[in-house]
Amino acid sequence: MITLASFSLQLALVLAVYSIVASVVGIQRDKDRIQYSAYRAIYAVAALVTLASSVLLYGLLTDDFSLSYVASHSNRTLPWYYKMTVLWSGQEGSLLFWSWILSVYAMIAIMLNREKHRPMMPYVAATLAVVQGFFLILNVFVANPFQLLGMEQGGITVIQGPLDGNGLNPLLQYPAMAIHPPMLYLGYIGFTVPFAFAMATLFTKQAGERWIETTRRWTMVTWLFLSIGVMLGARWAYAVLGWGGYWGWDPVENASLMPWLTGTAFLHSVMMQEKRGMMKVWNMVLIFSTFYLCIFGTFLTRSGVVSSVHAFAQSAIGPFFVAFLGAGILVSGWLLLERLDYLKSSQQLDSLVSRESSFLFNNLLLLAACFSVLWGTLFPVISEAVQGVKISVGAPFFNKVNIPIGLLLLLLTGVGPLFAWRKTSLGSLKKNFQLPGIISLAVGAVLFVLGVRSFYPQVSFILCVFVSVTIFMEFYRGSRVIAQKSGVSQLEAAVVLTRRNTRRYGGYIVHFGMVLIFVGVTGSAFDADREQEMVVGDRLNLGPYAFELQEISDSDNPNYASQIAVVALYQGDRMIDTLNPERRFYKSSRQATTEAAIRSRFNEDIYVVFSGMTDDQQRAVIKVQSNPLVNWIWMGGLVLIGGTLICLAPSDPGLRPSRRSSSAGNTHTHEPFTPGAQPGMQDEEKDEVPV
Amino acid sequence: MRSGRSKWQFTAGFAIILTTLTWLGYSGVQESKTYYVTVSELLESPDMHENRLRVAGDVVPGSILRTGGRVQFDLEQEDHQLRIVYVGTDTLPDTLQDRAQAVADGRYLDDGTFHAEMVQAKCASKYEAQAPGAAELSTAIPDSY
Repeated sequence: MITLASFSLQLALVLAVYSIVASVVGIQRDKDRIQYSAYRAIYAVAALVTLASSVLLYGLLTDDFSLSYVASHSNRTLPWYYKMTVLWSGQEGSLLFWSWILSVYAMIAIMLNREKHRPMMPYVAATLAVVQGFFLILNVFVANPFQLLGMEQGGITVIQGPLDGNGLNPLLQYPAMAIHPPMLYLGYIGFTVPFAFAMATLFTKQAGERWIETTRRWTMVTWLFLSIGVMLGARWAYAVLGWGGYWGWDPVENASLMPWLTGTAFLHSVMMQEKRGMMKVWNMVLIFSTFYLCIFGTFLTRSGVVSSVHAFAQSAIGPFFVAFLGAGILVSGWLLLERLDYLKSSQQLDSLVSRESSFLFNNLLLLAACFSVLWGTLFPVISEAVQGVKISVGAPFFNKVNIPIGLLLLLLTGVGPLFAWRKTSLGSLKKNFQLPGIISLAVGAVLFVLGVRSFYPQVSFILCVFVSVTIFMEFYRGSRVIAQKSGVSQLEAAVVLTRRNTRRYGGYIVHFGMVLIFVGVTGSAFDADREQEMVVGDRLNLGPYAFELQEISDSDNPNYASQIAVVALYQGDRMIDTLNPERRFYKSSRQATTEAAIRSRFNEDIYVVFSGMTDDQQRAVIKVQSNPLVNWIWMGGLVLIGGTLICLAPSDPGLRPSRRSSSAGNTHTHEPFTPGAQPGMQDEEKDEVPV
Repeated sequence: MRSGRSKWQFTAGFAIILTTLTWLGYSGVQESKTYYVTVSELLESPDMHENRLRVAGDVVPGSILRTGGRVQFDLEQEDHQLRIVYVGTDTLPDTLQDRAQAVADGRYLDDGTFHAEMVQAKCASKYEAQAPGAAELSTAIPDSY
């Protein structure tokens, strides 16, 4: 069975190469039959890689420790669902997982488009097959997940694994961590498809609108997966690592953020191409950058080029990635320069106060953020190459650059969608921004009186209110018209409004999700913490709370043994909760972990960590933290997911509300409802928010 | 651009943003730059005291001592040892164990100890190691199922 899996990977590699050759030959000879054989080869690759992945999964679920990968990363006592996650927890398995997702994506992309975009598809297939071939080379020659273990017995090596495996890293035994990597991978790998379409556009010398139309939805789904992946990573760091934070600017975190930033820039700037025929070259550059940053992220976590606490073991695959990235950037860069004449903009910029301008600044800021993250991440490599001294930069660098960028982006989130295309009139500016401006400044003044006086938190809260009010006003104005005309409730009218133009109103919801995330992140400026060694009965005070250690108990199961501290939480004299932070000792991996106890509320999380016992085993080291508003980050993430799903749903421009009042309904039976045609809104504004 | 004025406005806007960000980036680097040094380099170079430093090495077995909010351990690299002292409220990583690869950021004090402001530790390398007594084989051998 293992030989079959190994062989299927080798055959898949051969077929990927065949697909490249057949695509090229098919194009040159203009033979459909050859081109179709290339597509069928890609389907076969998907089947073969699925087979190989299934065999590895079977090996994991049946504890086949003769497989080196299973012995290194799993063990018998691991619950079955975590055994499944081992598939992507180690170097070899995760690269096979990469290959598998790509093969399925490639198959779907070809199946959906082979008739619709016939001239482009051989080039799309060839590009996908090149990327697939690269990963299959890694699977077959460099990081083979089907290595077997053997034991020396009487001078002969026989296949025999150990009785039990090393086990899965306990830090990865957490529900969010089980789905975080697949989400991130679905995001990373998904960008291969728009990249392939962009390459095909350049090869076929097209003007460039078609690939964007074709891949818009695809890109959005991919971006959604990447967003979920990043959020789950942050959630995991918060809940599992025990330091009470969710983002540490670690290279691995940065690796996932960079393509998200360029992908977000792309989702905004494609609108310029769709609506105004502008930024054609720029959009190519953005999708290329996003794709290469995804590959770079995969490389960064595996090559040991920068040190990271949660990177995979260092291995020899680094040079392969460098070669692939170098060759890819050269080829796509050359092709882009060669085709510049086909990508000329058909329009020009008119005014600084326009939708186009807001997109340009949005792109500038997102790219500046991406560049600063890349620069900071690679600073040790750059400084060593230039100065001969290895220097790293830390959170102060990343925060100093990215906090102002984030706030400017937040401002653009509020103003951009309300600017008209070409030029926005003064009257329209006043109409759209007067009320949000007054309300947000009033809230700012109240916050100042309440004691929020640091510059960045103050600005952030004001902008969050400003953006929220602009979004609310958009929904209110649009739904009021529908409600008045049809007699339905305002809420029902808002639903109808959203369904008529899902992209626009879904986009507003995504923006609102971002606002909630900003509120949550800003809350971290008010974090407070305290640590104390305690014996049973001791109390620790933090702000309005008191924490009393009531008991330390032991527990045991086949996977781990644990010590649990029972901590009573008091507010004044009243006990409001009991928290149970835990120290676990995983038996197989012989590793201790800290399980924080979190009391999550709308306004604040109370985060309690049992750091361990002092060396004399007499006192428990308890750390308590108050993290205001952190929950808003996760809520914002959910709203962002919901908004993106709405954007993905097809719009129904002719949708009418179900009438409750017959008189109101009869009055307007023949009046067409135009999506986004609210009073006070210019014609140019009747389109979507870019998500 | 249609008008010279808009072009000027865009260029000015872009220039202001990029100049500000570059300045912020530069000051951020100055504020947080940390030099990577080996334990032996640190012990041999007296001029390292002023810089923020990052040292890496293996935790010497039995050297981790926790007293109060203070955690002390020794890092070993190529037969040189360095005493690391961490005082702070951050919970140190669970992976900080005997023989783990650890990284400490902080400053080297005149008394010969390294005052860490941040400590990170990698999982012990056994995760990627072979099972005891086992040898890895190529896959070109008969099925084991």
